[in-house]
Amino acid sequence: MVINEVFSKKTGSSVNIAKERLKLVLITDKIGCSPQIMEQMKEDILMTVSKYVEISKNNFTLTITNACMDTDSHNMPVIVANMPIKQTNTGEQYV
Amino acid sequence: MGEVIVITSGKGGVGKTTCCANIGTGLAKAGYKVIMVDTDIGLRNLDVVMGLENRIVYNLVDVIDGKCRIKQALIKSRDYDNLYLLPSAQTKDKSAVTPWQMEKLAKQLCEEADYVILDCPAGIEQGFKNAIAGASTALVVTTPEVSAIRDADRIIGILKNPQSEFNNINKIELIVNKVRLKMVKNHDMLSPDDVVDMLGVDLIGVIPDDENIVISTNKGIPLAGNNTMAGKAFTDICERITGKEIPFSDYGKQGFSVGTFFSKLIKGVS
Repeated sequence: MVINEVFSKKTGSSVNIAKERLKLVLITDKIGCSPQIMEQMKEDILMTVSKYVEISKNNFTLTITNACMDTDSHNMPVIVANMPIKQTNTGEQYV
Repeated sequence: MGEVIVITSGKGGVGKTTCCANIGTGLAKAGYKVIMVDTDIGLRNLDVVMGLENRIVYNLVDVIDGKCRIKQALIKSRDYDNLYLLPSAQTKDKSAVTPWQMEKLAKQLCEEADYVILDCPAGIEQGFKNAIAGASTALVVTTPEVSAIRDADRIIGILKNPQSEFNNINKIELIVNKVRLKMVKNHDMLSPDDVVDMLGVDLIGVIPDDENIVISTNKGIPLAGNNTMAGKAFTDICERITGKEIPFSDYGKQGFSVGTFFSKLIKGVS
């Protein structure tokens, strides 16, 4: 069983590469901007939020999905920023 | 009133026409009256996949231009009395038809049939707009490849947007075609589950990459319903279209039944 795992979940398998590339390309297609601009936006969001709470930079993800969030139930792309909080301004620590 | 289904993909060569021929045949085999329409004007293909290329007298553009009645242009399949093809024109180009004309035609056809299946051309231009104009359901075909998935995502974006031109689609479902089970198992091909995660639409079928599809196209006889892996997969899709609950094999995780059997065996031993 261990051998099975080792062979089937080899890191850097071409599927993982495909997934990473696809995620990026689908996002940039939807929002119509380059990965560089996405990275810039990420930095800006991080900077703004960091004024108020301490964010775990390594686990900060910015994704764009097709989710339906509009009250009229129209499907529109949605930006989802996931920012784990390390420490709040009131001093509560989470990490 | 029948249901109008468009089979689309964005990218070419992923198997739209094959899916169209086999789903049409499968539904006819199940007893439904089916009209298939090849909307790829200038590049007609569905007639040869169906083995009906020698019977064409009139075509889609003739019907729309009023040169003949719909019934004169419909070609009956060799094997089923309830399966018809409306072939595309080979000599005209895509601008010969407008979305409004297609919408009207689809309405007329669905009064005659249980299912009207539109084979959409590749791309997102005029031909695509024509094909989706008359349909309420879209089956998006993709392969587990980066390029095909990207184009499928683009198509799904257009179909999901109520502001898109001529868009009356209210149901979108996904077909993952040309799946190689061994490669999926070795993590060298995206699994159908991976593709569904990326695209965010419901899966209606998984078609294995089966040599029999090439053989069936050579002969001009669709394989839906026969005893091949692809034939069975198409039967499953047809049953799901008609509203039956058909469980999916666990293609994505462990490969098909043989793979699952062996991994169970290994689990049992260890």
